[in-house]
Amino acid sequence: MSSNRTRAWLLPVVAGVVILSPFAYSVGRFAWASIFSTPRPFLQVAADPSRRCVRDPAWMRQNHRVFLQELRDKTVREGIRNEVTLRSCSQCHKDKAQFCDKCHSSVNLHPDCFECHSYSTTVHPVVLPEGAP
Amino acid sequence: MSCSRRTFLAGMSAIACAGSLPRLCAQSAENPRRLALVIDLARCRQARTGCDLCRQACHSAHNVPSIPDRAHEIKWIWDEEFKRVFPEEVRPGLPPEVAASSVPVLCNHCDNPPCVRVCPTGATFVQPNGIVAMDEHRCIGCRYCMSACPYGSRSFNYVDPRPFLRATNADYPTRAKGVVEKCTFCEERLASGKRPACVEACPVQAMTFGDIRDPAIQARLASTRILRRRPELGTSPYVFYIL
Repeated sequence: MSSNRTRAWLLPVVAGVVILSPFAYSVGRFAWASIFSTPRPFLQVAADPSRRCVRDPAWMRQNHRVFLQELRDKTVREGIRNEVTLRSCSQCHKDKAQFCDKCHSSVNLHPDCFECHSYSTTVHPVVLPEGAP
Repeated sequence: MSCSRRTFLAGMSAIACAGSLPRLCAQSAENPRRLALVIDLARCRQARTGCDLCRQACHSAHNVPSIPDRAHEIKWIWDEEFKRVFPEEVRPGLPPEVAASSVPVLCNHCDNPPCVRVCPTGATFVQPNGIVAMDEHRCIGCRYCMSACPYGSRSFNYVDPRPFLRATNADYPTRAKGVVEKCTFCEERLASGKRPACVEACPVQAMTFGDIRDPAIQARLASTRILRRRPELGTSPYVFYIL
């Protein structure tokens, strides 16, 4: 009698664990990754030591999405083109797998920039805009 | 002090006029460029026996694929038979070399572009210099613009175009399956002070490109008989042909 009652209690719990395990795994992996192994973009040291990013690297780490969207709108919608382009990032950050994909795939993000644009390392030199921080 | 309705209205309209004056002055002072292309068909016929250097230059500069299936092909500039480009000009007495010739056709960068009017997302828009530009980031592939364009100047990527590229120009993006693309008057080349790829590639200088007020353009437009494609539609094309 008592063993029957125990089993009746066990079944929904086991079923619940089985059903929720994929969610738990995905949330747990994300939590683990964000707490213990926050990936940092890997920067290959540029040949020219005076070269610096078009914005403060810490700001870029947080806001490159906004930066790139504004750059895109300026270029495509307003026709304002200067030497800073999506491709010119690859001048310093030569390895896309380390620089873009490492963080994006750890948070399961798949931006499609480079489906059309090319991430090639041979581009014109970057000229900093006036008043860049 | 009394203020009649009439004086009040007059006063208010004077203030409104004064407010809009600086904007009006700025507009007329700027006199924005209006880009135009003139194609001299007589010169083009001289070079023609299979010359398609303009198409080659354009398509290799902009990563336009060569898809053999005609249902899927992508075209920015291409050759069309005279009688299909200017059907209203076909009449008895037309010189046979003209009637048999083919004409390079591309986006007309109309003043009143129907493609822009129908685009539901604003992906295609008119730049201040008159270029009918295309923002593939916003294109949802509805193809309304293709239905609206009376010149067939727009192509849809029914298939992934990249396998059909012989070589890729890394300076210009490729396109994805599901977006519409078209001639952009080489706006990326204009930004760096170059002429459009087709104009540069023409071996007989049949094409003249520039602001509509440029003396070179004006000289060409004044000299001979000018044709525009389907002017009766009211789109006001800015690609002019000299018969």
